[in-house]
Amino acid sequence: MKFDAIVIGAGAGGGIAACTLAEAGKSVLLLERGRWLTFDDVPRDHLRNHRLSQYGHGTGPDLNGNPRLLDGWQYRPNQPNYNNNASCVGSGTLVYGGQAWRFHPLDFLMASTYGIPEGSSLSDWPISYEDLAPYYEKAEWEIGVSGSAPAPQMPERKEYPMGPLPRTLKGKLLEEGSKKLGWATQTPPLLINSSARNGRPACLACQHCVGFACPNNSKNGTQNTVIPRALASGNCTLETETMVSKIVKTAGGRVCGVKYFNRDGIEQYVEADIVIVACGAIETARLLINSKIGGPLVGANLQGHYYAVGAGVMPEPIWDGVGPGVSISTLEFNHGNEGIVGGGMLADDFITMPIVYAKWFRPKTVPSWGIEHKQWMRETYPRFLQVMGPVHEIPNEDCRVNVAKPIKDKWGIPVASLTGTTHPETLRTTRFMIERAKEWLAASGARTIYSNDPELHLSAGQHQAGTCRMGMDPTKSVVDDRCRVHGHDNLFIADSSVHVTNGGFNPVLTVMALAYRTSEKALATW
Amino acid sequence: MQTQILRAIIDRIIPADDFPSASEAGVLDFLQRIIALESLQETYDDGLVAIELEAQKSGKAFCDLSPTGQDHLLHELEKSDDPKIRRFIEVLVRQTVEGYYSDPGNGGNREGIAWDMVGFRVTV
Repeated sequence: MKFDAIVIGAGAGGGIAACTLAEAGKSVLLLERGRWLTFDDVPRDHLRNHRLSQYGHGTGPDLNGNPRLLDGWQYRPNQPNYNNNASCVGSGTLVYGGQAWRFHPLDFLMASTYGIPEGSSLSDWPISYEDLAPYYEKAEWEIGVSGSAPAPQMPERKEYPMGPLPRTLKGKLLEEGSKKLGWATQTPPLLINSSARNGRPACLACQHCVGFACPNNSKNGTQNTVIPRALASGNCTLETETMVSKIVKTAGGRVCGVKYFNRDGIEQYVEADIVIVACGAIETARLLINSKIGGPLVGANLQGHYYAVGAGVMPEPIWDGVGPGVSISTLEFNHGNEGIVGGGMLADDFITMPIVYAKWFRPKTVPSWGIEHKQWMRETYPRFLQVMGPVHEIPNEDCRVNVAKPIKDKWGIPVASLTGTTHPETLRTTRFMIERAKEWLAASGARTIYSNDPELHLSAGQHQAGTCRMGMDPTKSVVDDRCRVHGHDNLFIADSSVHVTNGGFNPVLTVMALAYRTSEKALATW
Repeated sequence: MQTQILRAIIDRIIPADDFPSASEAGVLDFLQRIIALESLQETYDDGLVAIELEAQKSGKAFCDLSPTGQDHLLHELEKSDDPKIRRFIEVLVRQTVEGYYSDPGNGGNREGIAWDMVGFRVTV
């Protein structure tokens, strides 16, 4: 069998790549490890979802047969140290909150803006914000973003196709606080319909957004936008429950196809003119290493996001239950913080499940059980206000993905093995951002304000990135400025692996924009 | 004996006030499922026996201690020299809270009573 293109992974990047190529008339084989899932398949289980995966996570990968290692210890996909992302058609875009941020222009110029902290691998991107801007716009319109005008810290852009979702009571209180501080705010952009669009309805404002599938399909992922379009073109074949074991090389630096296990577990070999890898930063690196492609830097610079989190208690109940819940943000501290490398966006959060509040937000002064604990839950859950945001990580080459040869998954493929931590400079940025979060809470009237001090750790998770970094120098990067693997003319990467740095924002819109750009560049040369 | 002492302990972890205690809200059902799903039978059997033995050192069964006496003993055991007991209490506290505050589909939080208590309302 032969296709024009094989796309591995039907998530944010792979879905877009498959659609772009298929609509351009190319025959595409889209291979996905997970299943097609709908709202009815993904339980509203507060202990098994992508916000709290205590005993499971409600999508793929299956808990058994898919281990990963962290610092030599073996973990299952629901354990935090696994650093999981949903495996299913759409991947994380089925269950995300869908914050649709563009990176800031300086996010592409971290090394020249701040210098390189000793021991870090901080570097500039080989492309600029301006290079990516048209593709950001394309993602905003094709996948569907709702929101307001950009904050003054960001360049002007075309309006989103939909206006913002309503501001919650918590958001209104934070708006008052931001005025006292003189901080500009904006409604966080969301890949969620605020009005009916493309045959799907507006958001129902339910209480189970991030971590769960959407009850009325108003959350926009690749599974309900570009992947159905790819299939409707008649040029795309989607095979689910398949696992790629190897990308096959020919002499002279080209790749000729992939080996994979189909849903019956039978090994297949399929050829194509080009291969696009889009498995997420951990699995893409694992596949390249297992295929002996890309050199020693594949897997290095693994990063994600530390989160700056501040919590506080308001004098009166403020829980209005209006989902998704995230409705105000500030970009005052993404850059220009004296003595600090980078910074980040701060926002309120999606509605917090009571069990998540109990687990993550108990101050050290409150006992973990007994009547005092129960009273704390009763009195503070309705009054609780939080501000949080992803912090710009300072990458470290030693934080990486490798493969553990003796440990294999259920197909017999060596699994990913994670080691290292982010660069310690990240801690200073995180602490600075925690103080800003607390400042915002205090100005908004919160009384008991608290936070946890960050600790150095490996950070990847749902925002995992960086393992096949983009650059012009093949000795310092894995892919070029078109996201083509150095030395392999017809092998591209369309996921967050290529991010040189990961911005102070949720990264999915950048993954989507890059996937549009990479597929367009691939089409232009072929 | 095991169900009785388990009920007594989880009702100290989440006691009744004008809202139900852990067992009244169905946490025993939750624990029964989690024990089976996570293969925790031995952990629970051993842990409950260990707590009962500690109680008997004072001459009374755990269930016959006053609520204050039960709290006192559990606080002591949280600081026990035996890491197995410390870990068991940690698991029991964590899982009791999970049962009480997570969705009723998991067996606890019967009819969403804990969500009514904290004000978490599901509209869709």
